[in-house]
Amino acid sequence: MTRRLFAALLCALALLTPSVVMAEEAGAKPAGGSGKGVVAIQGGDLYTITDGVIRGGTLLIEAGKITALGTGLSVPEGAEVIDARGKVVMPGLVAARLSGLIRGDTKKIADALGPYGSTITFALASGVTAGYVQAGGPGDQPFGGTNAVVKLTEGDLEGMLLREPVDVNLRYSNGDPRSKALLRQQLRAAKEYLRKKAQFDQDKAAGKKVDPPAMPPGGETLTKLLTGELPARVSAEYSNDILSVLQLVDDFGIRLILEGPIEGWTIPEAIGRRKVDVIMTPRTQAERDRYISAPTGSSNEQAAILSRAGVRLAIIPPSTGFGLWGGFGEDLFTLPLEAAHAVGGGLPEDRALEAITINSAQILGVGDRLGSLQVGKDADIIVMDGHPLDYRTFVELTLVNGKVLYDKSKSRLFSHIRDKGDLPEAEPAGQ
Amino acid sequence: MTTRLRTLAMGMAVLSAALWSSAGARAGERYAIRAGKIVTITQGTVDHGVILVRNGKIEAIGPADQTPVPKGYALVDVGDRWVMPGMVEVHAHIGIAGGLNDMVSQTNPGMRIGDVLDPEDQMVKDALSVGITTIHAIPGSGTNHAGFGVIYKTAGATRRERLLRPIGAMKIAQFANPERPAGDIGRSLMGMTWLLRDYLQRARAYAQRPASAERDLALEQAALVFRGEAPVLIHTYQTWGMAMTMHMFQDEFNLPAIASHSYDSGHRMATDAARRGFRVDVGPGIVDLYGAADGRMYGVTAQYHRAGVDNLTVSTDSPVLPESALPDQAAVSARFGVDDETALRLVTINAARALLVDRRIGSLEPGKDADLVVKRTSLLDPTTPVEIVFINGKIAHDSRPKP
Repeated sequence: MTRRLFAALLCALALLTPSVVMAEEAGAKPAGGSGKGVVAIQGGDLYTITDGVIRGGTLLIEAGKITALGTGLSVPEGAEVIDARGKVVMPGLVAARLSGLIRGDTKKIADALGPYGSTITFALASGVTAGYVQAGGPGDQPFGGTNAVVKLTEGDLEGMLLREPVDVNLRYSNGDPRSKALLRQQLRAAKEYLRKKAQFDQDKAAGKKVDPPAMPPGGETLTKLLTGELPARVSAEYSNDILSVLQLVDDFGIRLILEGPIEGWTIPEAIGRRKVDVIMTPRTQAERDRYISAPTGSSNEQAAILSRAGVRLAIIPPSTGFGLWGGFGEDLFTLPLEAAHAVGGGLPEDRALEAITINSAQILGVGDRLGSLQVGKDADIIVMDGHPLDYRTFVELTLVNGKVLYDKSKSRLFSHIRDKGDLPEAEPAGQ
Repeated sequence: MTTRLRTLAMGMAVLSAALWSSAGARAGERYAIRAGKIVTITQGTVDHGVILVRNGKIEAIGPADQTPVPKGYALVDVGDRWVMPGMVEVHAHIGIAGGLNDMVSQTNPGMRIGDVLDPEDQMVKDALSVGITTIHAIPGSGTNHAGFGVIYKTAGATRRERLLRPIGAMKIAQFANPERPAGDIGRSLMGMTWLLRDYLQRARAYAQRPASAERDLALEQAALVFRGEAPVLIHTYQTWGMAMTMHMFQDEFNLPAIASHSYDSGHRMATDAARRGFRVDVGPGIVDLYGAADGRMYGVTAQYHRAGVDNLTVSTDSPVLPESALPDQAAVSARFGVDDETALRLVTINAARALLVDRRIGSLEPGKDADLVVKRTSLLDPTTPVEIVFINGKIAHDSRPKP
C-alpha cells in the first residue's frame, strides 16, 4: 500500500469512528467555569440501564466519575469531547466471572494483580471493564480460595482491586455428602460461636470477668456468612443439588449466589422466594433425564423463567476467558451475544442488558460503583457502533475511570474491521 | 400373554415409536405457508408470500396475492415471520452411535459412518430446534482416512426418510491428528502423504477399471468421489497445510474437494484458494490472532470471502462446538465483515453445494425438499427463537404456544 493511500484510509477511518477533539473545535457551547479535566461524551444514545435510554444525550465525567448526564447539557469550555453521535453509550460490562487474569496460586488476589496482559487487552476491546476473579477454591473442603472484583485499569495498579473477597466459594453437592455434612457442622459451630460471643460481649460490658469463646474451625469465614457480611457462591446444576443448596438459606439464613444452574427453570419459585441471585449461561444444554418424571434437562427459556420469578440474574458465556483457537462467540469476547441468546429464550432486552451490567455489579457487591450510567458512579463506559445485542456490533471506545483505555480505530486487534462489508485486504502468505 | 408381559410389550412399542417419531404430520400432507418474508437464498426475497408444499417438496413460491391456495392444502399463516431454508452442517460428528475412528490402518476406505446412525442423539434434536435440517456426519481424524460420512436430515420417521445420501464425503485427515501408531508407516508427514497418494491412485485406477473387473467393496465408495458423485472432505490447517491439500486434491487428483477447518493461518492461502475455485469450510475456529503475522484478529471466513472464495461454508465440528452453534458461526462471520446475505449462504446453499446435494436442499426453490424454518428474524439473529421447522414437508419442530 502506498503511503498516500494509507493516509487517505486513515482519514476515512477517522470520520467513521468517534474522535476525540477539543470542545471548541466541536463547537460546543462553553459553560461557566473551566472544563479542564472534564470529559464529555456527546450526542450518543445513553443506555443508562437503570433509567432507560436517553437518545442523543451527553454525559460528563470529572475525576473518574460520572458528574452529569442528560439532553441539553452544556459542555464546559476546555473539556475533552468524545463525539458519540449515532453511537450507543452504555456502562462497561461487568463479567460475573472472568478467567485468565491471574496466574498461579495465591491466598490474596491483591498479590497477584498486574495491570498489563492479554486478558486485560482483550477484555477492554470487548467492553468488559470489571470482573469477578477467583483464586483457588474449596477443593475437597467445604469452602476455600479467595475472590475479588477487579477493575481493568490497564497500566495502573492503583484502583485495580475493587473488593476482596466478594463471597465465599462453597462446595455443596449431593455427590459429596460428607463434605455437605462437614459444612453444616461447621456452620452450626460458627452459629454457636456467634451466640457465645454476643453473650461474652454483654458480660464484658457488664464488667463480668469472662473468657472469650474459642473460634471454631472455619469460623472466621463462616461467621461472615451467618451475619450476612458475605454471600455464599455455590455451583449447582441440577434440581436435586439446587434444592439441597437452598436449604442452607432456610437453615442458616445466609445470602446465596447460585452459579451455573441448568434445571433452575424447573423450580423458579423455590429460587425466587428465597431471594437467591443466579449467575447462568443461557446456551448451556443438557439432556433430560428420562428416568425422572418431573421436568429435567436444560431449557433455553431458563433466564426468562427465572427473571419472571423475580430472580436477580447475571449472564456469563460458556467460556469465561478469551479463547483464540475456537469457540469465538462462546466466550467473553462476545458477552452481549450470550445475553442475546437469553432474549431468544424470551428474556426482555432491558433485562438482558441488566444481566451483564448492573445485576452482575450488584451481585458482586459493587452496584454502588459500577453497572449503570448514573451520577456519582465510576466512569467505566463503552461506546459501541450499534445496538448492544446485535451480533455485528463492535465496541469502539472503552473508558475506565474516565480514561480512554481502548480505541478501536487505534487498536491493532480490531481496527481493520470497518463498516459491514468493507473488509481489509487479504493477508498475503509468506510474511 | 400375561398382563405384565403385555404391558412390557406395549411399553416397548411405545419406546420404539418414540425412537423414530417426528412431531410431523401424515405423509402426503399439503401445506400452504403464508409468511411476511420468504428468503429463498438463490432467487431473492418474496415479501408477503406463499409457499406451497406437497409430497415433501416445495411446489411453488410466490407473492400471496398471486398465489391462490388450492383446495386440500392446510394453511399455515405465520404472520410477519420469515421463512428460510433449513441450515446445513458440513462437518459434524454427531447423530452416530460412537465409533468415530476404527484405528485399523492409516487408510480405511471400507468404513462408512452411516452404518451407525443414532436418531436419538440429543445433539441432533438440539440442532433441529435451532433450524438445522441436514447434517453431514463424518468419521474422525485419528487416521489419514477413517472412512466415509453420511448426510442425514435431523427428523424423519424412518432411516429411509432421514438419509439424504448414505455415503457422504470421503473423509481425509491430511495431518494434525492422524500422526499416531496405526499401521507401520504414517507417523511422519511424508509417510502419511505416501499412504494417501497410494490409496488415491488405487482408487482412481479402480474407478476407471473395465466393468467386467472384479469388485472391491472398499474401493466402490472411493470410486463415487472419482466419478464426481461424492466430495472428499480434508481435515487441514495452516498455510502450508492448505497449500498441500489444494495441490494433492486438485492438481494431482482433481477431485471435488472441501478443505475443512482451514484456519490457524490457513486464510493466508485465501487468494490461491479463490483462484482455484477451491471449496473452503471454516470451523470450529473462526477467528485468527496468533496464526496471523501482524497481531490483528481476523475473522477467518471474512478473509476467505474477501479474497474471493465463493465456495465457502462454516461448520461446528460438533460436538467440539455444540451443533446449535452453527448459526452463531455464521453470525460471527458477519461480525467480522461478511455481509448478512453471504453469511446466510454459508450455512445453506454453499453447504449444500459443497456436499453436492444442492439439487435437493440449501435454498427455497420449487422441486427442492421442503426443509423450512419459520422465525421472526434472520437465522443469524440469536434474539429471536426458531418457531417452526419443516423437514421433507412435515412439521418436525413447533415451539409456538399451544392454543
